[in-house]
Amino acid sequence: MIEIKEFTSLLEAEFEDIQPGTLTPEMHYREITDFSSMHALIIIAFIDHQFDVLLKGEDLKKANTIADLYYIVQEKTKQ
Amino acid sequence: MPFFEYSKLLRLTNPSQIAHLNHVTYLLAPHVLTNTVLAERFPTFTEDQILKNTGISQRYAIEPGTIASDFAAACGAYFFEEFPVDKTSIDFLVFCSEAPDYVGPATSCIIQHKLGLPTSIGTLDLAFGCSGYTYGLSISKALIESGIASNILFITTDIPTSVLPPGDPMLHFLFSDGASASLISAKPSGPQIGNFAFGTDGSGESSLRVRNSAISEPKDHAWLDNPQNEGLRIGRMEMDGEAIFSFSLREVPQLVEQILDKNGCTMEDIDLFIFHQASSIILKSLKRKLRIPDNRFFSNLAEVGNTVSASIPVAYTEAVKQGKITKGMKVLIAGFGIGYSWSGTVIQH
Repeated sequence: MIEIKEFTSLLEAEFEDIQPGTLTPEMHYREITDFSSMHALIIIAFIDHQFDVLLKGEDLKKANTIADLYYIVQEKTKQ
Repeated sequence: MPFFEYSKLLRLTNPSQIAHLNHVTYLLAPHVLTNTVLAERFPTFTEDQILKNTGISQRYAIEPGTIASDFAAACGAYFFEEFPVDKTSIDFLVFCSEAPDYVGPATSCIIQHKLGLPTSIGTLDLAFGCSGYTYGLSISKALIESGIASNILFITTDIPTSVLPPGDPMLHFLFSDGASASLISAKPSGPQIGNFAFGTDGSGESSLRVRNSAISEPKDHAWLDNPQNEGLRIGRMEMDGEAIFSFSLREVPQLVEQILDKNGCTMEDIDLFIFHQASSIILKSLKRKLRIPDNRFFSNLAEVGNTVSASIPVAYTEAVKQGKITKGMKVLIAGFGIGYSWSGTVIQH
């Protein structure tokens, strides 16, 4: 599993409308500017593509920050 | 039953017939809904946001009150204008829609009459959505190759705009009304229809459904009588976008693998992939996951929107018109969605 910093920057690259360096691990992902249901799908697609982990809606609901997402993925890749 | 009696039964059919897809065409609903129109209707979104969120520039809507059999018959009539086949040669009509005219009679019976097809034909209704085109092709192939029919008109018609609740703009941005008509025939003038793979998972019932539309959830008169609710007479669509997205990423790659396996192909053998035009994020993610290069992946979602059971034939017809499908090509088509239900095959040109 990659480091949290790399996870954050790879995720950031998935969002076409975000300036580089905007996302941090502590940031609440739903507070991304103009966050919509589309961003949630982009997160699911990114995690599936990078880590072969398919998050469910309830996984996203449990996570607030980008670090929370990282730790959920980390946990699931161990299983 | 003794073996010799099986032989007698087999002689009643014509096992040497192979199903061919001899013609495909489509008809879109008359009202064009651009992002400008939708941004006026849903002022919390700009045109640019609608485009960014959906990748769709325009979609099509029926005149309110239009019923599926009228739209299907119009598409059928267009088919006969475009393709020179005698109506009397049609011996079966397969109709796929999630907006039947009645619980009974079957809408395919009504379409037989409206289209002036012979009364000697057989008809069949299929109640599938996004997997409906590939499902209908599989049934048509089975009818041809078992010798039950020789010339099948297969019509799909969906009018999702008639079940979109006013409080869910994302559904309005995505869905579009369309119909398609295909001729599946024993006469080998078009490409051969390959073997099919299927999947079903009814645990997805609540992820995408039309509520208050039939027996399980009868019509809601309080809703119907409220003029604020845009007169959604058929029912109202409800979709869990995240669940549908996860389902698509989970099942479609496996479906593709099974289609390839059943047709003795590899990914490299497929010249063009045409998936149900679900949404731009689903198509983009599947393309990436399956590592399909741009030049072998066709989509016209941006110009048409998601026309449910018509989306594959609409895209297929456009790909043919644009010269993306030529002789000798293998085209993999895959439908997936509401149910959950999924199916697909390879069309061998």
